[in-house]
Amino acid sequence: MKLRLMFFIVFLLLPAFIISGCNIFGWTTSKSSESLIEEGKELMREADYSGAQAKFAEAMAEEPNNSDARYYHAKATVHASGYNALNLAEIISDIDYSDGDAMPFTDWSVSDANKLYGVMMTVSNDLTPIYEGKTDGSFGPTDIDLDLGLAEGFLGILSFQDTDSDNKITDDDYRFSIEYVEGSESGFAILNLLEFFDYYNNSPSPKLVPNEVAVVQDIPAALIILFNTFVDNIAEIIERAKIIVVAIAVGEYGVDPEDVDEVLDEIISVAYNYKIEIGVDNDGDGDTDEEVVDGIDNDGDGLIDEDSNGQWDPALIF
Amino acid sequence: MLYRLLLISVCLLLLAGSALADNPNVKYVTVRSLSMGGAGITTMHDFSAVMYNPAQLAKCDFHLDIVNIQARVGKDVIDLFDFFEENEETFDNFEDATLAEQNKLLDDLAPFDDKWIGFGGYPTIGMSTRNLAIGFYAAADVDVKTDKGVFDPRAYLHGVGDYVFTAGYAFEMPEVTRLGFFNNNFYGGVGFKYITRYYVEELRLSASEIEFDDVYDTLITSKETGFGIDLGLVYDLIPEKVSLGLMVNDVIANLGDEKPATIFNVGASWQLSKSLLFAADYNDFFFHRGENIFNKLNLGAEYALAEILFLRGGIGQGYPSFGLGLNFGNVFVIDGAVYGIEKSNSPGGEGSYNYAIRLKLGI
Repeated sequence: MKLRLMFFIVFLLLPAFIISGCNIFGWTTSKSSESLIEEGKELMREADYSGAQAKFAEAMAEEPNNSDARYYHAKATVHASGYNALNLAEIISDIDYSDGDAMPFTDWSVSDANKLYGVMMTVSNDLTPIYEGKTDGSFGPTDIDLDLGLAEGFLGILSFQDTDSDNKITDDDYRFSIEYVEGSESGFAILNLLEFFDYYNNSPSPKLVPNEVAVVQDIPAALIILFNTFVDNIAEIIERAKIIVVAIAVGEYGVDPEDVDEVLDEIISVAYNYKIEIGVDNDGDGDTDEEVVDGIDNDGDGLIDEDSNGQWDPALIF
Repeated sequence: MLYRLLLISVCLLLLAGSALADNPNVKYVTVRSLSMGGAGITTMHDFSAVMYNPAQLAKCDFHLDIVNIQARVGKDVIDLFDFFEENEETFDNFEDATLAEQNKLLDDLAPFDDKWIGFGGYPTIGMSTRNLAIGFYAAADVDVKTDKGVFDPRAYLHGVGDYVFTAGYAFEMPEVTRLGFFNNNFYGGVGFKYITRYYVEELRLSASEIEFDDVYDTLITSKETGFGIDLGLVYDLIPEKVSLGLMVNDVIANLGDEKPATIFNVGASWQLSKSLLFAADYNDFFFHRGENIFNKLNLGAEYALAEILFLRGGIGQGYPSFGLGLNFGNVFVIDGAVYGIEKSNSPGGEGSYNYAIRLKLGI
């Protein structure tokens, strides 16, 4: 009789355990990367994206080559930031590319731009080893290629604002003014290149060159290297995005790869057009080194200071 | 939207089946066992003994399952269908919804994110009598998973459907095997199964592709055939009271190009009184699948509240389960169960609750 009573008590308790959804042996599970990932996924289901991000970061630290930890960390980072696909699509669809429109994100506040830049940087860092086949787990290159391609594309555009290449967009960075120019081949143009050289020429630490005043002089070699490296970095990121996105656009997502190629080429050309290489036709217009960096459209093509001859006029802005 | 989902689900179910697509062993479970935490190696006394332990056929009476249908549905599936129903209008007009409405829908879907949810059907037709059983059963499950993705939302589908002809035979173990120790009832059993397996290979769809025609056209199905031989033992440690059992799955087996692993499961039961039965199973005794030991432990009990009414409860893979059974002299049987399953290798990793029901008409 006593045993029967006990059976009924246990039987009545079972639904309560079921409702709680608990596993009574859950305490036996060690804190392996697998269990951390499962905990993180559960937090994602509770929409606690920051908590999940922390769990996945722990799992990544435990096992850096675990593609699941890396994928879910990227996912949690994106959803914790609020920059999910819906919100990004909304941001991008707002851009209509008419004359005078700023390039995406260049008119954002420093903190907003830095937040998005950080998110894209994390996604890129997390997913690149998966794309390169250096990880083990459930996710392989073709599972994350579109996500990585998108992150790299955004990263490339945002890199225009990380002029000191320290992986952060801060007040220390120079803010390029990049606008859409109706009728120009590249689409976008940098409007304030002259001020860029001035900004870094007067950079307090380290000061690259003495602040000499001259009507026209050679741009200090250190500044040219700084700028050209910056341009190459951006181009490299966007080229990488292009390779990934164009490769997967064929067939799988019904996107015309030529369209993707064209858009990304426009962004790359913004960078390349302004690269300073003596004797090179950087903007591909048939003329070589046609401008001086002086804030003036010397060749009258609607663009200012593109494909310059390595000379500038700091006096114009001092 | 709901209609489309239902249509896809039914088609998938007809085509295939299980979350264990990477597991070449056939897995068949009964609702009675599920409600008892999954234990059943020494408690089956009908056609299902062939699947749990063919040696148990030695304890079978005559049973003919004319109609025996089992079905299970994940609790999350029901919640998801409810969710789709409640938000049908927003789904149908998703592109016209405001960004806030779209984001809310995405957040509301969070509880279902990255979670395999599924349903299945398990019909059997079979006959069993003392020492012998023959019949056919199927185990077809479909599992789906949605993933919000990093940026690119996607859905996954997969499954396996096993259609199995089976026969089992039990016998008294010969004297030589008793070793002067096994002096009580000691039975051996052999089960044979001829398997036809249909796969719906795991399929990933990006959000824009989730239209019925696309899904249907993209499904990649394949078929494999094979066979398996199972061996079982049961020993009555205390006659009519305590039994010990061993089930060796797929001693010899082949399915397509694969050789399913040989899995050793052990079990015990204790008939405490005429109305109260306790049972325990421990699966994969030799750690072939590398699961945590508590993942493989199934404990259950059955209490005959009346001659026709049974209460069942248990703990399977760490998750409590319970169920009810109505048995009208084996002519008409209804069993119901609520039970949890663990999909990861560790207790509490990725559990989900399911509802299962069995309807049987027979003799």
